[in-house]
Amino acid sequence: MVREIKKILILFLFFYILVLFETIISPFFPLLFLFVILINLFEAPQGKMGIFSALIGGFFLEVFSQKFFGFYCLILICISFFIKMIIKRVIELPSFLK
Amino acid sequence: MKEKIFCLFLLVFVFVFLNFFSVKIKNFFYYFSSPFQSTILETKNFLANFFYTFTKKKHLIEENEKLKKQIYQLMVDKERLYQLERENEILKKALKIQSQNSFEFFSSQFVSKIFDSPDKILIKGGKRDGIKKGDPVITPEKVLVGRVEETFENFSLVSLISQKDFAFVGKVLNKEKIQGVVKGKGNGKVLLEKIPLFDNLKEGDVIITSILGGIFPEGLLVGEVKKIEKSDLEPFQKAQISPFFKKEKLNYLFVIIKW
Repeated sequence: MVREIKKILILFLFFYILVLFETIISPFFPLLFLFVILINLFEAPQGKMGIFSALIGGFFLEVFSQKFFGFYCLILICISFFIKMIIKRVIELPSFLK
Repeated sequence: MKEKIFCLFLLVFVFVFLNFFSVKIKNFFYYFSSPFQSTILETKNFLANFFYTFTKKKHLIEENEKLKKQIYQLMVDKERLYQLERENEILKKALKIQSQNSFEFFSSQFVSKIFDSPDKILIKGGKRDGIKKGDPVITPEKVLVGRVEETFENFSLVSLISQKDFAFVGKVLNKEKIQGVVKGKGNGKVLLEKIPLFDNLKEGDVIITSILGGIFPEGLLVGEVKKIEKSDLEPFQKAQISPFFKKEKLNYLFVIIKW
């Protein structure tokens, strides 16, 4: 449990720094989207970190955009579930990820 | 199953709560983040200038020569303006007219760009500083940047003049009879429209704001005419404008609170 909370806090901090860089350097390259997708792709299908990353990433995108709270979160959560579903049903996972 | 339904309800509740206090939450994050963003911006500008010096050395020499010539011309113009100003003051005194040029500014600074809106920026200064929706935003060189669209407690969201459907009346400097509508087209593009075909508009003409419409004060610099589009089938000509400000180089700004 403590390990999970630690991971979430690190993710929160990492996404916050990422979003700050993005708002100054390139707000139109979806770096945050990319990271959320990558976390979901490389995580075990039972893992919950992908969903947390979608929530945290979505939250920061909403803070620094004009969309209402929930817009990007919902999009990212849908993407996360979709990736997990595809991985569960279609792709044969290597043993270390199972 | 019950756990999942509970999580869903909790999520919906959190989103409703966040939207209810969205202005305050956003203001808090902007307030907390602005020092970090300033540091990132300064570092980025420093690095960009550093590499620009190396890569565009030849271009810089040419630009330097061109600017030197412009400085001499401006010195002559300045002297002429000084004489005119003095003459103007004397005439105003004789006619007992008071000066009308009394803007009230708030000194602000660029904070960040906005996701999903390439033609909007966030600046320092908000409701607490007397900034309100619709206030014009300019650079220290009196170049028009845009208009305040939304105000938070300590920050304001600014629509740039290139924002889609942003429109105001503009006119050509030194050819004040030529007036048209300056319209934002999104992604940094600005057009000057509704100029009659017979008006002698040229590439390189400088566009300034007009008091007509009451959106902006008179005489703020807007941009330079880049390309003119004429068609015999249409009663008006259009011109592409290159705005004088560069979004990537925005730093210190002024909000005109009273004009």
